[in-house]
Amino acid sequence: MQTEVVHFDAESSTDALKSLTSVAELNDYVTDAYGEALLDRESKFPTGIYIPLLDYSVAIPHADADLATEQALVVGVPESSVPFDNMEAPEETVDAELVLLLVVTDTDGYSEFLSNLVPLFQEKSFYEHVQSGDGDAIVEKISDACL
Amino acid sequence: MQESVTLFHEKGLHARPASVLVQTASSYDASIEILKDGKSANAKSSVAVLSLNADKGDEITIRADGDDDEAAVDALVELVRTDFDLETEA
Repeated sequence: MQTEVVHFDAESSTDALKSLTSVAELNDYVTDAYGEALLDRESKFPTGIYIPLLDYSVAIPHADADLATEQALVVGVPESSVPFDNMEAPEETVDAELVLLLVVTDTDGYSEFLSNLVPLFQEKSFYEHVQSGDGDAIVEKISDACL
Repeated sequence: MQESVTLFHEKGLHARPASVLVQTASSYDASIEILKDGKSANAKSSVAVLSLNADKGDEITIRADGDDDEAAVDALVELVRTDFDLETEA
C-alpha cells in the first residue's frame, strides 16, 4: 500500500477532501471520478469518529473501490481541526484532528484493516503524534498495526 | 434477549454498515452488545463496532438488555438480514 502525508488547511470537510483527493489524483491512485464520489459518499455516510477515551476526533473518508486504481493511504494532517459530520449521529459534527483517506481497490481484508486501525486511535502514543502533526510517525504506527 | 445472525454484506461490518447499525442501535434505550468470537462491542459505539473485525460469513450475536430490548434486537437482526438497507456496495 502506498502512503502519503498531506499537511493542509481547510475550514470544511469538503475542502479537506478536495485537498486529499488532489494528492491521490496527482499520484494516480484514483480515477477522475473519485473526488466527486468521495464527496457524495461523505455527505450520505459521514465518517467522523469521536474517540471518547482521548477526547478527539478523526475522519476516515473513502469512496468506491471501483474508482481507485492503486491501494493507498493518504494521511491528512490539518493545520487546525476540521468539522466532519459524525458517523454515529450525522446531524452532529466532530472536529477531526486527523483525516485518513482510505483508497481501497481490493475489499478483501478491509474489515480486518479497519479493526486494526480503529483501536490505534485510542492509543495515547498515536494521539500524541496527531497532536504534534507528525505525519511520518502516524504512517509508521498505521503501517506497523495494519499494513 | 439475544439473537444470532450471519453477516452476508460484501465487506463485512465496515464503515457504512457499522454506521447504520450504530445509528439504529442508538435509537433504543436498551444497552446493546454485538458479540463475535468471544469479543463484545457496544453497539452504540462506532469505535467498538469497527474494532470487531466482523467479516462476510461471520456469525454475530446481538444482545440487548432494557425496556425495549426485544424491539432493538428485532430491528438490528432485520437490518443485518436486509444488508443494512444499503443499495450498492463498494
